[in-house]
Amino acid sequence: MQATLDSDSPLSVNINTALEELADTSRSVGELTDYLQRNPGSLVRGKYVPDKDR
Amino acid sequence: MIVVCTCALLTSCSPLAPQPDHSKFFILTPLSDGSAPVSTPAVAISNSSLTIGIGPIDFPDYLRRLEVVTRASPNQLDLSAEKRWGEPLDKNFARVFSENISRLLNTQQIEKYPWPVRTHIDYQIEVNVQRFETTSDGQSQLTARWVIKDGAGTDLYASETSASAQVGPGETGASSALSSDLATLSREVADRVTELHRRQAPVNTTDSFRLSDHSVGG
Repeated sequence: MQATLDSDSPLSVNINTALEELADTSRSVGELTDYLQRNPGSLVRGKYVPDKDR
Repeated sequence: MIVVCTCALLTSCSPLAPQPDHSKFFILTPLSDGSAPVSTPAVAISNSSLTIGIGPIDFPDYLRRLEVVTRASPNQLDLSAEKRWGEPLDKNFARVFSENISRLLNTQQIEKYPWPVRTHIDYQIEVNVQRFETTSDGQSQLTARWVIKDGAGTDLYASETSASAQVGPGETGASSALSSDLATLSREVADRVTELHRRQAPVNTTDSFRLSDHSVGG
């Protein structure tokens, strides 16, 4: 039991990795919704890039 | 009619034709390999191989995005449409900062927060980043508060670093200016860790430094 829950054990390393992946996923979904909120037309017309950023 | 529409879709002048991806990805860089160690004491303590715990690093939410953020005015941010960070900036910051500290203190034992409970840490470095972006008038700005704690979590030293650099010409000007600000912060923190360690565990070679400190102070 002690070995399974130890902070170096494979179980806790896996849990940590999974939680990090989950955080990355929610961050990435957040980025997408944020972008779509600002550029709703991009789903149809593609990404608009102003000339100054080229 | 259908034929006309299909032709329009397939030709390159159609708005639905594939568009090239102009995205550019940037990344921070650690201190250059050729740079000399900060000072001789840093080398002197290298043999004791300090274990440094880095984090937690608190990063402002407005920078936790992949678009490169520029401060257009004190109260306005500008998100680039095509310039993006190669990885989330807070993670990039933490990794490059760890790398810098590792090089400056000449230790390979760097633990990233959260480390296992039983890990022995000599010094923990907590960073609270306030600003880390370039401004539209060509300056990069890093403002960060940092705390050095001992292994038990007691505060040993707290300070704030403000670094600024001129954004060079070219695409990578901003990321290299920010990298150099981060290097400045790393140097200040590493210098302070070196000094704290020298005071706490004086070794024979540093006695002369201590004596000279006293004579200057007296």
